[in-house]
Amino acid sequence: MTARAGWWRENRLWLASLPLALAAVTASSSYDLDFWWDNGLHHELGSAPQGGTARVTDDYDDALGETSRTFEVELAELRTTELYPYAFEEPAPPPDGVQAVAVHLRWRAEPDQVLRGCKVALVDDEGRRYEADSSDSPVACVPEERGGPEDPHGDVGRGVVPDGEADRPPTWTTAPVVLVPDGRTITRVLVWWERPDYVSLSVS
Amino acid sequence: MRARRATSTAAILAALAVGNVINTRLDANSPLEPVAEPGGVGEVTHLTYGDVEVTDVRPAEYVASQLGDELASKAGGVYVLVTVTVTATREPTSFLAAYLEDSEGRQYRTSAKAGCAINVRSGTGVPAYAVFCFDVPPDALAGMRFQLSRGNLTFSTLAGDHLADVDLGIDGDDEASWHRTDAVYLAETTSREPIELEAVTLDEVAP
Repeated sequence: MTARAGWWRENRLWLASLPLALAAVTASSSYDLDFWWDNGLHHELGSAPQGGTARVTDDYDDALGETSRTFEVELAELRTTELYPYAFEEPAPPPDGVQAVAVHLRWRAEPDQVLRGCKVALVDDEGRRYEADSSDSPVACVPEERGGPEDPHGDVGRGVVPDGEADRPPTWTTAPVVLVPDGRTITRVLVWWERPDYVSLSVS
Repeated sequence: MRARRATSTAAILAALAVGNVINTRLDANSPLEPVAEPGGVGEVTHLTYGDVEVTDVRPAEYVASQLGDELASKAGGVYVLVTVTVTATREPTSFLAAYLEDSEGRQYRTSAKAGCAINVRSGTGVPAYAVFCFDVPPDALAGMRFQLSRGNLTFSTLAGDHLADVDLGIDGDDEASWHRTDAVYLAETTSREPIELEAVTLDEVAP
């Protein structure tokens, strides 16, 4: 046996542990990657062309643990409106050089599915994202005053509809309004609750 | 055998020494410095995620609340009121980190008692307007720069962010005159329309 072969044999355990150590170092540094992944829109749950239906099941965690929401959503049309629904003010024209675009969505879901608190955004052909302001369009995905159950919080468990509200109907429409500068070409509508998951509806 | 042991010991000591240098001299664990993009008053500073323009800078002795003169606050030094237009260019963006930095590198946060903006948020391509008010020592005014970036609510650092670094154009003569200012303005925060500062006269000023 040569001296070199003896060295490899003598240190075989350390050599075998090197890939494990490398994996451990990589895993311990992965929080940066997790942070980036979880804070962006990186995982498409479902998609559909305009006029088509995206059937989606979104697995997520609420205050009580793992759960999911199942729903169908369809982009009916994008329509420019004259007035923008500013929060706490009368609707008013958008600023100069900016359009108010209503995103008309059709929805279908069982009344026990939690669909409050979503975000809706438009994406243009250069990847720029324009979001519906949650103050100005507070109910982007559910009917007003019939939004269905809330996420569990405090003493409120799963599937509880707020006092005084009727159950959500099985089908409904929404039309959140998004501010978009003139001259932008919108190609997609995104809908999401918890990043990185989103639903993509293409615009034709 | 003895020679091999000596070699191994030397190699381990060398590795420890290199590790020590990396951890201490190279300061590998300190947060990343932001990347400053210089600008001036009336110029648009283009950042990777948005545009920033300082449209007006002026001193004040008092900033009065919109709710009434009796809530006016007097500067400990001099108030510097910085009027800014921001426009997100890629996605809706909050500009959370607003500071003044003087010629000696000292940073000043927005004044809590002035009641002006502490941050500003812009929709993509939709300008937002804000007035930031800083209470700074009168002898630190010359060479003062305004810095604005996204910042980070979670980690309280600028962590390599792109940062607008705007020279406010305050020279020694300005410093001398701003020192004696008796101007009073109504406090402004953020708006979707351009902000014009409104000068007011206080009815009653405590001695």
